[in-house]
Amino acid sequence: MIKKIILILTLMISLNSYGQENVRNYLSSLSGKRGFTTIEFTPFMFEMIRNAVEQTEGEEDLFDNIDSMLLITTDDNSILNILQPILKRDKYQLMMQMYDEDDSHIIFYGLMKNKKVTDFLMIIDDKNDFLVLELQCDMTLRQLKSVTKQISIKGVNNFK
Amino acid sequence: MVPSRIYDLLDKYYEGTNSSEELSELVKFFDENEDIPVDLLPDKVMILGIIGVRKNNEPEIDQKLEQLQISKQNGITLNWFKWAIAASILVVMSVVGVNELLTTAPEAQPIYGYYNGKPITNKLVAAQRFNSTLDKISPSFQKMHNEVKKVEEMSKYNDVINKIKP
Repeated sequence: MIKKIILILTLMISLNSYGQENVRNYLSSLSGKRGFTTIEFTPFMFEMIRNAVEQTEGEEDLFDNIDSMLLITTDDNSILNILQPILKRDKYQLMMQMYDEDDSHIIFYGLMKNKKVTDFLMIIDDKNDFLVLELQCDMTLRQLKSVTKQISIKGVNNFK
Repeated sequence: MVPSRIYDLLDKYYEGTNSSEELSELVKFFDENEDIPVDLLPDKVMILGIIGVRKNNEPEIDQKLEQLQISKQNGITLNWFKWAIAASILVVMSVVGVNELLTTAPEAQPIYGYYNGKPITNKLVAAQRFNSTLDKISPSFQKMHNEVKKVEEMSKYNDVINKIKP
């Protein structure tokens, strides 16, 4: 009897998890859909950057710990309605949120595993436009801080 | 015009159930008919090839047929010939195919990313897209970084305040 119960429970759990969607799967599913502009960079891109960019002495390189990046822009606000429950279910932590003078709202989420951020999400709600950035990574909060600093300061100039 | 009996005999041949007389009939048909339809040519190769028929070589045919009949009696049907040949052809084709692929196929193009679901295989295009992406996210990261800095400075002041507290 106990064996049967365990079997049924295992089946239910596996079926339940099979039907679930994670953040990356959901965002990737928007690729090529009308109203969404998506750009995704594969681990191959980051490997190429790591090989091309000279390591700065004493400073961790920007993309050392990033595996892939996905950016979506859209004017369809349903994206937030679908994302929020997934983030809540998968226990993403709200890291920071800012309200700008121009009424835009920026939210940062992180998925933590073993004191490391494995998935970093930035959502910009600009009332009419939405931008979602997802980084699949493996970095500590200190490394994440360094990344934000480097992206904000060096921006695009470093990678021309 | 091929008699329908030949088709029946061929079916039985591939099932390995025809008698020695029926097999002789098939051999005779393929050996003596010059105008074999295209769809039956593989069967002709199969039957004449295996038995090694040569015109005016009846004793040899009889001998081969006898051997086949013995094999059949021992529970081995003609089917295995078909499978053995098919398997050999497959093995040869796969070995040749793999070698061909290894020597002539171009290297798979690296995919740097996807733009609206379409793969980006050009290095320059990928770099341009990457730069414009960073361009988009950079201001928000700047804001985030400034906020973190503010919080850090605040916490430094808090430490100082805590130290000088009586």
